[in-house]
Amino acid sequence: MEDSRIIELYFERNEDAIKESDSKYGRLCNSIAYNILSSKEDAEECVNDTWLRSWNSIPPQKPVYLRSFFIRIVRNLAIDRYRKNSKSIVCEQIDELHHITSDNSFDDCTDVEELGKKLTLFLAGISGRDRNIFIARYYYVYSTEDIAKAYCVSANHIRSILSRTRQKLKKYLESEGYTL
Amino acid sequence: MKAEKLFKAIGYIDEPQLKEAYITMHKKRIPLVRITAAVATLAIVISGVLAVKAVDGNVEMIEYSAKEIGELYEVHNTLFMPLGLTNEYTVEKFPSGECFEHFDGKTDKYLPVYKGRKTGTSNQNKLKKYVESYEKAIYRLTGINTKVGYIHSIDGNYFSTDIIIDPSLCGITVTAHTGRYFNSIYFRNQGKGYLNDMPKFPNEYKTDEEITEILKEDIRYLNELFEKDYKDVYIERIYGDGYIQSVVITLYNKADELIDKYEAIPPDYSHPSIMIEYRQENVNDSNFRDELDCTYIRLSEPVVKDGGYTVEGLSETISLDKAEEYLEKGYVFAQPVCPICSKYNIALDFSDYSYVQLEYESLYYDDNKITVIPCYVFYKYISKTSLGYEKYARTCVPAIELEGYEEYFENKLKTHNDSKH
Repeated sequence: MEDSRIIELYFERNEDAIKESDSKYGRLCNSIAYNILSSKEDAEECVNDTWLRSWNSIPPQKPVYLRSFFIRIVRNLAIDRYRKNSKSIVCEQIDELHHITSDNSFDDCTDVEELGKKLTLFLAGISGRDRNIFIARYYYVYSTEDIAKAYCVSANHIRSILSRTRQKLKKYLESEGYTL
Repeated sequence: MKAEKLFKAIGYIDEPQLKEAYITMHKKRIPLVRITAAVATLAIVISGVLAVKAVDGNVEMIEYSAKEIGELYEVHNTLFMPLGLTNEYTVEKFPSGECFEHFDGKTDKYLPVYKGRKTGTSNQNKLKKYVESYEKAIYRLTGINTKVGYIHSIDGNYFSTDIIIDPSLCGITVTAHTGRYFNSIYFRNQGKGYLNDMPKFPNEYKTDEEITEILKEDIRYLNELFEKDYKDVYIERIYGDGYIQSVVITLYNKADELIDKYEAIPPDYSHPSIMIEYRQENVNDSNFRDELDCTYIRLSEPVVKDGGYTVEGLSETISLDKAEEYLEKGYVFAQPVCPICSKYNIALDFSDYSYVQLEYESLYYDDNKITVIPCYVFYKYISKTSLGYEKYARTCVPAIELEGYEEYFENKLKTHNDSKH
C-alpha cells in the first residue's frame, strides 16, 4: 500500500493504518530495534510502541517521509530502552561511537535535532561512499558484514572506513564547539 | 557528549542523505536485467491521438492564466505531494526505449484541456448488483461464500465496497470499485505470491516469453474464472528507487475497439482486462527481497458513457521553442516548493535535456475533481543504474498559452527573495 494511503488511514482513525504500517515497515523497524537491543522480545515491544506512538501522533502530524518517521520513532524507543539496560545490552554501533565521545561530559543542553543538522552538514562534506556507509551503519543499524556484502568489499575495509569517518566527525564536532 | 545522544542525533539527518544511503546499500546486489515497455506510457500515447477526436465538435476556446494553473498545482501538491508521491523538482523515471515515442515538435494549433470528476454510481443497488454478479467467481477462487460489506460514498455517489471474507480462512481480501470508465473487482492475496495453488515467481530475471509460459495455466484459469477470453498478454515491470517492486501481467484483447464509445479519452485509459500483479511491498528491505508479498488480481470492465472526462475547451498551443525558453529560465511547473531555488529539490540543468514529449498532466483540485492539461514534458538523462537502466529526471511546461506566464514566475522570484529561504 502506498504511504499516502496509510497516512489517510491514520487520519480516518482506521485501525488498518497500524496493520498496513506493520505489513510494510514492521520488518525493517524490527530489524533496527533488534540490532540495537539484541532481544527479540524487546524489539517486538519497541515496534508495537512505534505503532502506538504513530497512532497518537498522526494526526495532527502528517509525515512527509513515512519510512523515516517510523525509523526515527523506533530508534528513539530502542535507544531509551538501551539506556535503561545498558549494562546488560551491547549495541556495537553505539559502542563504536563511544570511541569519540565521553560519558562524563555535561551535554544535557545539547539539542539532538540541532546536532542532527550539524551531522547533515558534516556528511555533506565527505565522500558519497563514506557518507552512505556511515548512515548504513549508524542510522539503519546494519552490521559491518551486511554493508561489506553490499559494497563487495571486506568487513575490515568497512570498519576502517567507519573508523576514519568517526575521527573526522570528532574533529568536526570539536571545531563546532561541542564537548566530546 | 554521550554516545547515545550522538546516536539519537543521527536519526535527524536530512532525508536525501538517508535515502541515498538506503538506495546505495541495496542496489549493489542487483544484477543487470532488461526493462520492457510500460502500459501507462502507451496509454498516454493513445490518449494523445484520441484527444483530437474528442474535440471535433463545437468546443469553445478557453484561456487559463499562469496563476490559475499555478494554483491548481499548489492545491494538487498540497493534496498529494506531502503524502509521499514526490516533493522533488524532478522525478526519476525508468522509461522503456521500446515504448517512448520521441516527440518531433509538431502539435496541433489548439490542444484540449479536460475536466472530470469521479462519478461513481448514484445507485447503491447497481454497485451491489455488480459485485453480486461475481459472487460465483469469488466463491470459486476463495471457496467461501461472501456478502457485500460497507459501501463507500462521496457526495451521494457510490465508489467502492468491501466484500467480507474472513482473511484467516483464505488469505484473500476482495474490494469492488466503480470508476470513471470501469467497474473493477480486486482480489488481494496477502502473503502469497501465487494463484491457483502453484507458486509463481515471474521476477525481473525472466523474459516476457518465459513469464507468459510460466503463467500459462493461471491465464487459462483466470479467463475461465471470470468467463472471459483475453488472448493477449502485456507485461510491465514497475520500479521504485531503482528496484523492481512488482510485475504486472495484463490479459486483454488487442482487437477490442472501445474508444469510440467515449466522449473523451482520459490519460489513464486502458482496455478492459484482467490484471495480475505480483508485488514485493517490502522491496527495500534487503532481508526479504526474495519474497513476493502479495498478488493482486483486478478485473476491469467498461462502463460506457458513465461519467468521465469532458473537454472543457481548446487552448492555443505554444511552440516548443517557447517552452524551451521558459525551461531555460526555470519557469516550470510540477513542483510543490519554490520554483526559483528548488529548495529541497535536486538542482538540475535541463538546458541539454535528452528529449521532450507531449503528455497530459492530471491535477486534482479536490478529492474527486480533476483538470487535465497538455504539457511539454522534458526528460534529462541522469545516469545508468546498477540494474543497467537509464534514469531520467522530468519537469514540465504547460503546452498551452497561459496569460501572465512570466509575470507569475517573476512574482514567485520576488516572494522568494523576500523570504530569503
